[in-house]
Amino acid sequence: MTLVIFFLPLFLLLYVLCVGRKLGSSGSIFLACFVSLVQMVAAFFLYVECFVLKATLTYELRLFTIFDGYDFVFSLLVDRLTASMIFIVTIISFCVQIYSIEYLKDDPHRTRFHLYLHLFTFFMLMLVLSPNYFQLFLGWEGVGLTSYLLINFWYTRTQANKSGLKALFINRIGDFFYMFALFICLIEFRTTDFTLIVTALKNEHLQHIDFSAQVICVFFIIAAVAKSAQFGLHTWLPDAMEGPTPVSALIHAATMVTAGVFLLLRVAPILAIYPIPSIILVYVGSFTAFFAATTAACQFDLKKVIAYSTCSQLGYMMASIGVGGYDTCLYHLVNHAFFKALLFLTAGIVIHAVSNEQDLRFYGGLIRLLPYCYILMLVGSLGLTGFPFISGYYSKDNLLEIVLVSGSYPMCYMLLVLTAAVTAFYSVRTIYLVFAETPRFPLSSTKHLTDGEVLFLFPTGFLFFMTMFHGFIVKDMYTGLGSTLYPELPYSLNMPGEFGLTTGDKLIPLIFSFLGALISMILYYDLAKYGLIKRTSLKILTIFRFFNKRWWFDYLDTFSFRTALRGSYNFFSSVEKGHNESISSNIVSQTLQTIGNKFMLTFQNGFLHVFLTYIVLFFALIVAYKLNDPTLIPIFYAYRVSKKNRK
Amino acid sequence: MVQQMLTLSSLIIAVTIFSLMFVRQTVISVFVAIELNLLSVALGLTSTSFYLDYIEPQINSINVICFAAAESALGLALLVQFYRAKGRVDYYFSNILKR
Repeated sequence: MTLVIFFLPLFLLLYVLCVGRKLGSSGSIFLACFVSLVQMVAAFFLYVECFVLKATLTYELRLFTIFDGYDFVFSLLVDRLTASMIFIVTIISFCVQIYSIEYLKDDPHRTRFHLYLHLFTFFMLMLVLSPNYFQLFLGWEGVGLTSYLLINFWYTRTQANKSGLKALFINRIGDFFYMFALFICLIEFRTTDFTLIVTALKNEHLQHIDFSAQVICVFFIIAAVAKSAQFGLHTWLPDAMEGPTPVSALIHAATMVTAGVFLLLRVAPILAIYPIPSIILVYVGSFTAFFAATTAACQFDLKKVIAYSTCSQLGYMMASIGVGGYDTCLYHLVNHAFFKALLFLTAGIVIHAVSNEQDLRFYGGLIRLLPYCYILMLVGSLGLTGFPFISGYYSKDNLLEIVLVSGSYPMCYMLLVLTAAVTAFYSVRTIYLVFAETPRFPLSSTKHLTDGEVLFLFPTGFLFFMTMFHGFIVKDMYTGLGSTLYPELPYSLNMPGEFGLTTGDKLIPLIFSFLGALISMILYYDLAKYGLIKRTSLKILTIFRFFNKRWWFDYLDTFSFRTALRGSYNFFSSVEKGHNESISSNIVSQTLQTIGNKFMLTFQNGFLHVFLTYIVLFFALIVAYKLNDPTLIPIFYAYRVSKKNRK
Repeated sequence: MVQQMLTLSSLIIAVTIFSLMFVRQTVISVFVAIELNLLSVALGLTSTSFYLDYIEPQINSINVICFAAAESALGLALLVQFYRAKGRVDYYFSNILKR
């Protein structure tokens, strides 16, 4: 089953590369979707086997062996974490494949698009199926590459090119830290296997590598921060929205950005031993959650709002890993994948319907025109907000309870609860701006206004179902009694989170969410009454601009990058090229040029009379010297008079 | 006699050179100064020829006068063209090529 899931995309790619021109565009795409379907069905069986029934499978493929001294064989590992990841990857991949048939109907390169999606699925499966950090790194790089290829799918657009490169470069920072961590692993443990490292750390004779282990943790955290777009390295994620919307749904919401979280879930047994990396993680995660939510609340681009909300939700997951709620983190990850993919796919339908308009200020009144989209968006947003009994509610409340019950991070808990309020705020705001009131888009852009395409209906409907019921169905499988991811860890926060809190404490996030939604409703009802842009005071406008411009972080980012590049250039030109060259070529020539410009040009200005004056002057000097005759001196006075005359 | 002639010649040379240096209102004045310079040189050569009773300086002076005549013809033609182009013959506006 695992081998079918893992190798089918690869075989499909090879097959289509070889005989794709016989199949044609439609044939290739049909084959791609069929392979996705097979993968999904197989993944469901694997899910039952490995997640529900808690089997752990290991495949040692021995395809190739490298690292002579390090005993590395190509192998696959399926445990509960992997099974649940494969489940969401294949399901969302299948939905996106079906969706893309309709979405890229008229695109000449749609075959390439579908194959890229399959390439992505292959690398993602390699990432989640790896039993060691090295093989995980192969998948890690692969998904980065396919992310670039898919953001840059419409490669003739400058903005898409820029965004793709930005994503690649910022991820490169994380990749470097990943590699450093990998090297330290190899040096200290002589292996990169997940279980072996944890076993080694528990050994009493190996206590001296505590420091290295903490460094590894911190480096993996930085790698995850880059991949999961946490604060500091988050700037690529909103820009990645330049890619096609199905890509945003599959890669930048559901699966690839959660690769960072997945990595940290793999590192979790090490994180559980050392407190410092976990503390860093909690603060980074909760701050990112708050930052991204407030930014999303003031954005005008529909896709960027959803992108920032992804950022924010990933912050939740990070914080949850930091406090030790690994099961809850995975639970939230899976739920989030479903409702965020739903939101993105719905946003794609809406964007298509109004002729590729993405600005929230140019929507409005779509509730009568796209009622199906309204239902989907509403349910997705409610899931995101944590409305009771929709999937987001279970995972998000569980997560917040765990942060509260861990007891050490009251500030982070407050930030996360505030984030829940802001999340409700921007969800309601988005729905209000897109669907309520009267239309603000021109009539000419309503040519393709429909949400009734069958190929749109099926995947979104499926995700709708998952968003509605998945959270409730699988709650106990993820966070219930005796179903922790790491039973060997000394403690679990699930039971205290479930039973150790009063009802009042449990209701806090819900109350805050309703409050945020209420504020949004009041505010936007008011604003809509006065027209969207109401005259506000300068102070409010300043605050709004602060959030709208992403806390000025992009400017800081650009400034620091530019400074670094210029500094490195100066360093290169002064040190790397050598001092001699800089002195001889720059300083001497510049000095001579300055002298020439400032000094010589006053004498050699090209006028005949000036040259004539010099001739007479020096002739007179020579004569005066030869004859010792002072009567010739008046000629000097004549020269001075000539200078006066000239002026 | 020849001493006075040579003194006159060198004085005229000095006057022309100083006029070249100081009197630069128009191109014509520069032009006149150059002509006068060459003529005074011819005068000096001629007087030397009389003093030495030797023919070569006279030939040289005729040579110089010939060159001066040719140069004045060319120069006047250029000056006329210059006037047509610029509408004036001012010295300080004559640096067309420089701009």
